[in-house]
Amino acid sequence: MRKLRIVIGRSPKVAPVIAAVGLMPVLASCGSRSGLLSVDDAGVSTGGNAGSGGAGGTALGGFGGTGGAGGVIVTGGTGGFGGVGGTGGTGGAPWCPPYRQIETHVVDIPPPGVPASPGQLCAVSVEPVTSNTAARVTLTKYSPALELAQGFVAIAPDVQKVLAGPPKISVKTANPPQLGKMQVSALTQLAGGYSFHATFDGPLSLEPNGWVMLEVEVELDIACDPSGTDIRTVTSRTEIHLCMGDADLEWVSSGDECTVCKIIAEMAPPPMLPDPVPDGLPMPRAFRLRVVELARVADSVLLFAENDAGAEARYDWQVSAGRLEHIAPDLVLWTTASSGLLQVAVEHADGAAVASFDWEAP
Amino acid sequence: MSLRVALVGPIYQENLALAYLAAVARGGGHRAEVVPYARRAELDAAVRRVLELEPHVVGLGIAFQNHIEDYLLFLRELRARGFRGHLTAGGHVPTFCFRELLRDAPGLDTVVRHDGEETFGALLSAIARGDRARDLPGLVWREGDDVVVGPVRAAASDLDRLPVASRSAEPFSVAGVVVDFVITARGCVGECNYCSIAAYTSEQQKRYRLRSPSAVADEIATLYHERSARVMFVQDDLFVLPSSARTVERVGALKQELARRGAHDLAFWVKARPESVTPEVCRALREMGVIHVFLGVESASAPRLEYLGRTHLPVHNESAIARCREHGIVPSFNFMLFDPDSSLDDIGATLDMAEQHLDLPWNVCRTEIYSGTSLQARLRAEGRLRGDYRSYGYLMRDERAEIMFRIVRVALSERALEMESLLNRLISLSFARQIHQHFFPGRATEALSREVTELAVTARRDTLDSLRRALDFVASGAHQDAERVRRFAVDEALALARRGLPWRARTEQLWRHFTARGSLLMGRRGVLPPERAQGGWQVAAGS
Repeated sequence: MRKLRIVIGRSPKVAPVIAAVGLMPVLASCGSRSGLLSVDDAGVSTGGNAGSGGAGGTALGGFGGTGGAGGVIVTGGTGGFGGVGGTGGTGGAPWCPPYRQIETHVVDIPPPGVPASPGQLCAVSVEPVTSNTAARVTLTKYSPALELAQGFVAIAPDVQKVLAGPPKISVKTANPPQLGKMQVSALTQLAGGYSFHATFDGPLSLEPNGWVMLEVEVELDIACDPSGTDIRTVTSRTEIHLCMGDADLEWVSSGDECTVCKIIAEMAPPPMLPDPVPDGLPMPRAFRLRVVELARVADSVLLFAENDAGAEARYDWQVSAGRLEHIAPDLVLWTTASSGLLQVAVEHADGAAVASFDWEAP
Repeated sequence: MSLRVALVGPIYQENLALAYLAAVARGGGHRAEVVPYARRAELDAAVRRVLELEPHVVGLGIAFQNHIEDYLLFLRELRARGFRGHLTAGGHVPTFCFRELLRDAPGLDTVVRHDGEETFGALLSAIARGDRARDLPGLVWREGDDVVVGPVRAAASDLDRLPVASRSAEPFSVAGVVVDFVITARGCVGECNYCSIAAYTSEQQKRYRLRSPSAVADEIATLYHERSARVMFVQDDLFVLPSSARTVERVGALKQELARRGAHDLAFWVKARPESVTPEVCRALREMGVIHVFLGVESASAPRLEYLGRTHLPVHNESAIARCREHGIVPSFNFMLFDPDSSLDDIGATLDMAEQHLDLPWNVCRTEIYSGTSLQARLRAEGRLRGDYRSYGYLMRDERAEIMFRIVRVALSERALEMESLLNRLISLSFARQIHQHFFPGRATEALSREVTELAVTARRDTLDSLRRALDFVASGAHQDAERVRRFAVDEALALARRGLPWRARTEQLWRHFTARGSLLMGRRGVLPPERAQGGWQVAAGS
């Protein structure tokens, strides 16, 4: 398993950017709470050890270090610092753009050419970390009185492992406003998440009209390092509608829509599965391939070519617009101000596959 | 004892197989809920939902042979996360591959074979009584390390006695119009050797069974009045009977029964065999509101049709298409370009036919091998069957055809083969515009319709050109050079995706436009849109 570190920089009045991306162990730069970058409150860098990282990867618009797998790619940022520089090793100019805030995210990704397991990847990019797949709230009506419900916060298994405390549950929007006064009590940890008791101001008399809904936010603290000192807050929102079930009113949760976070959970559906028997003819294997968006910030998108072609596969990435930066053979950062098409061809002695990703400029 | 039952399976469209089982469970005094699960992307949500229900029994409907790994994953994950109740599976794959499934999924207790209603109902009754799940016709169960197969349960003769399917709370919609799904018959009169339906029904000794027009009309009228459904996808394996006179009579009776129940102005999507499509049948279908027929065209090559066990000839394909066109019905079809004995001449003939019908919704595929079929048995006997129950394959006799197929699966994956490929989207879009032509005729609809057709013709011509280049490539002898073959396939794929990009974007825009426009115009007709509906390209897939 490889670990991918994604650094997001934010400054007032400036759109956030993916400031750095690298496979770990990575090039350290300014040293920070995450060990990768550090910027003080005024946005002034505190310096660091640029270019200590591995071989490969180039640094653009920032600082240092060409060299091998694990290099850091720095994209843009206000000002730009030094263009392509350095050749790995230690030292190098400090890269310290004046970001007000720096966020670092670490994502597990499988070795090249190996499909990911379900729920393995989740990259996030906005503070507080918004991941609508991290937690999901359901309400179950158990009494004739609509104002009483049994709630459950289902927490994604990967998030559960690093949970640093119980979830905080609140209603962000509600229609009618009466639903906004949901009281949460009896929060109890269970397998897969937390149950709770929900009480609304009653008596509640509602019809299952389309506009009756509440948006519930779950706030989770997660530990981002083994010692549990680096705590990050993750928020997830679930939209819950009142619907007519088979026999009675019921609360129906939706809101799985995830705007900044993608989970790899399956391969592209194969219309024809690979036939594994070598037969002396060209392309005996059918590879599965899809382009997965790991993170998107402003006009940059981090993309992963998930496939089952194995370690010997070759990757050819092409874009119709913008700039492409290679982090690993199967990982690229694409920055483009205009709409365009990205394509990747994965080739191997036994077969090939091609997948596309189209970007619509905001 | 009343049981809690979770029925799990794919919900691309209404899963009527599970909906019937849910109705059986509820009819037996149990509580049943359908939980969507098609692919491993839904694994966590599906397992979580099932565990939340705390069911006594979980039934998994395995509908698609090429996703068996995902179903096995579900079975293992459910047990790993603590499910201790009874776990059963049913559908085409378990019916034929129960030994393999019980071997590969140790947590699976039983398998329900063939039509599941009666066997599943009996299984629930046994569990509710506290009996062991065994000794039931149609059931496969474990005895220690052994697998015991109960006698085949004869298929229910009287389909009208089945309970009405318990559909999803949220209806489905296409182009802003509520659609629903109905079964008026089970089985098929054909004996096509690749077909899973023929394999399935032959063991039951009842090939084809019909519901009465009045029972069908009762169900459709309820969907019409209570769910505002205006389009019916008839999911029968075969809707048009072999006898033209009987079809006309049956369709006429159904139309009359619907009118009697106040269900007017419905549109229908049905399936037919080309040799059964007569002018009289077309007229009757059109009068009932059929706007689309999925035709079992398969190939333009007579040897290929014969090989596949079809009983029609290429001339029937053309006459059926022409008759549908004459009556304002849009036919669609899948060309089986490849089968174990396809030659380049066969493929060329089918591409020629495809070129004659660029304005119609079609796609291309390879003949796949399903468990229990006579084609599977034939290939096994010939020593040409590859793979196992999770994925059967074969090597074509003509190695040039085989290599063309391998090129196509790389080059046309995004264009034609994936679920949301451009050609599949165009099929869905075509149905969307047919719905608008039926319900909202006028100049604006015609302008939209023209645009959809022109877009589709352009994309299909481009696809056909690519297929012809692949055909010429392998015919030239270049297929023996592995590097050239791979380069050719990759370059074609890259170029196809580049050219297809604006077409894909336009399909998306048009799909959204049809949806918004349909909701609005239906509302003006007094048919209020549902509060929530399930939409997406897959709802009209296969149309």
